[in-house]
Amino acid sequence: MGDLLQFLASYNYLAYLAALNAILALSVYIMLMAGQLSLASMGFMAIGAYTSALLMINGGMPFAVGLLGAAALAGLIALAIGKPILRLKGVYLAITTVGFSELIRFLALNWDYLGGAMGLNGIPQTTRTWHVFLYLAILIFLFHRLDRSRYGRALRAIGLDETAAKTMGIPTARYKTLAFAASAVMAALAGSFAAHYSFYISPGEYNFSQAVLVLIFAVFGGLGTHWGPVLGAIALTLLPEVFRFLQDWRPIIYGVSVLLVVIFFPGGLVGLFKLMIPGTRRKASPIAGGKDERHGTA
Amino acid sequence: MALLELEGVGRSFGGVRAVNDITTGVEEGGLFGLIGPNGAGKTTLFNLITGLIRPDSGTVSFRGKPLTRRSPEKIAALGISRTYQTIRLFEGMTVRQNVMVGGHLGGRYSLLDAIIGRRGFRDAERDLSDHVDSLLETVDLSARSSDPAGTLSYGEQRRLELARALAARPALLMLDEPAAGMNGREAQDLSTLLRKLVTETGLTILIIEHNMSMIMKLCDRVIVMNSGEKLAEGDPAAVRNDRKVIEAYLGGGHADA
Repeated sequence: MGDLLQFLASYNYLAYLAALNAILALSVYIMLMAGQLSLASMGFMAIGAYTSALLMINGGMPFAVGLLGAAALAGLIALAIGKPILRLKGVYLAITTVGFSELIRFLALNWDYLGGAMGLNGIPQTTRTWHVFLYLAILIFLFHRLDRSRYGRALRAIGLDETAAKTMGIPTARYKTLAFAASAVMAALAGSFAAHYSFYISPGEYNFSQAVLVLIFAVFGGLGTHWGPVLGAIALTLLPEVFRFLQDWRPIIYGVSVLLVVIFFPGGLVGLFKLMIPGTRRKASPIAGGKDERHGTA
Repeated sequence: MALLELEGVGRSFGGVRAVNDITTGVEEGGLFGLIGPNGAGKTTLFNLITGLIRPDSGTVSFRGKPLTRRSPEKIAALGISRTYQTIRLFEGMTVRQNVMVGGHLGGRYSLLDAIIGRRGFRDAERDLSDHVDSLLETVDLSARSSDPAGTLSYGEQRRLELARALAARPALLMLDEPAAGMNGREAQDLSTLLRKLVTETGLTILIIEHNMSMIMKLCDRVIVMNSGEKLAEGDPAAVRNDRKVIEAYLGGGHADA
C-alpha cells in the first residue's frame, strides 16, 4: 500500500512537471511560429513566480490576484520592451533575450526584498495538479483557434518572409510584439503555478540551461503544429524516468535521443508520428488554409 | 483625379541617384507599363510607392492620400498590392495557404472573434476560402493547391504571386516582371488574364516588363525610365517611335557624337 501511494505521488509530480514543461515549450513556440528565437521565457517565468509569491506572502492577496498580477506585470514588461527588442533578428535576438532573463535572475539574486540567493520561503502551496492541466488544455485550445485564423497565418508569414508579409498588409512589428507579450504571460503564469506548487523558489531555477532545455522540448517535438512542443516536453520529461534503470547513462540516452530526432526527423516527434501513421502525412506544414481542413477530408 | 500620383519623386543610394524627379500618374481602370533598361530604377520606384523605401524628395499619393510617410502595411491596407521581381512566396506553406495570407486584409474579425468562434469569424473565413478557390481557378493552379509553394515551376510561382496579390482585393495591382521565365504561350495567357481583370473588375494595373511585344500589345499607356529619370510617356505606338527611347535601348549616348 505504501509503495502504491509512493508511486501515485511520484506519478502525480511527473504529470505536473510534464504539463508545466509543455506550457513553457508553448511560450517559446509562439515566437518560433513568427520565426523569432526568443529565450526570454525563463525571465518572465521568474517574474511570474516572484510576483505572485510576494503578492500572497507580503500582500496577503488570494491566489487568483497573485496569478493576475503575475500575468499583468509580465505582459506589460513585454509590451514595453518588445518593440525595440524585436527589431533584432536571429542570433542577436536570442542573445538579447538571454540577457534579459539573466538580468531578471541577477535582480532576484541581489535584491533583498526578493530573498537574494536564499530565495523565497513559505510560499502558500495553492497550486493543484489539475490547475496546470486545465491551463495547458486552455492553451492548446487557444493555439488551435489561432492556427485557423488570419492571425496564425500572419505569424507564419512573418516567420517566412517579413517584407512580403508587410506588403500583404500585415502589421509585422505589432504582431511580433503581441506574440512576445502572449509568450511572456504564458511563461509568467507557468512560473506562478510552479512557485505555488512548491514551498520555495530561488533565482537558480531560472537559469540559462533551463531556457535551452525548453527550446529543446519545442524543437524535439516539432515546430509544424502546437502539438509538437507539447509532445516534445512530455516525452523529454518522462524519458529520464523511463530509463531510470540506466542510472548514470541516462543523460547520454537523453542527449542521443534528442540528436537522433533532430538529425533524422526535422519535423520532430510529430513528423515521426506522421510518417508512421498512414493517412496523416501532409505535404506542407499544417497551417489553416489547407483545403482538407475545411472539408474534413485529406 | 488620378488614382496614383507621383510628384518629383526621387531617392539616392550613396552617391547614386536611383530615382530622380519622377512625376507621373495612373488613372483608375487601365493597364500601365513601366519599362526601361536594366538599372533604370523601375523596381526602386515600385519600392518607393509600396513604402519599402522612403523617397528623399517628392510625394506619392493614392486617391489623394499621401503615401510618403506611411508604412508598407498601411499602404497595402489602402488598396495597393504587388508582386516581386525576385519571387517572394512563403515557401514553407502550400499554394493555397500563400493565397490565404494574401487575403489577410479581407478578414474583418478580431483575434477574440477567432478564439470564441464568433459568427463573423466563420463567415469571413468561408468567404476568404471561396475567394481563394476562385483565384486559384483564375490562375489555373487549383490542381496544385495543397502542394508546397516551393515545388512549383517558375511560371507557376509567378502566377501564384499574382493570385496572392489579388487576394487582398486591391484597387491598384503592381506587377514586377510577371512574365519573366514564362514561355510565349504562358505570357500570352497572362496578358489575356490581366486585360480581363481590368475590364471585368475595374482593377488598375501597373506593370514592369521586359517583354516588349507583350507591353506594346497590352498597355494603354507606357512610362519609360532610364538612369532613374523619366524618359518618355505616352501610348505604346508613340513611345516605340520616340528617338530618346530608341537610343536608350540601343545604348545611345554615342549616337549624337
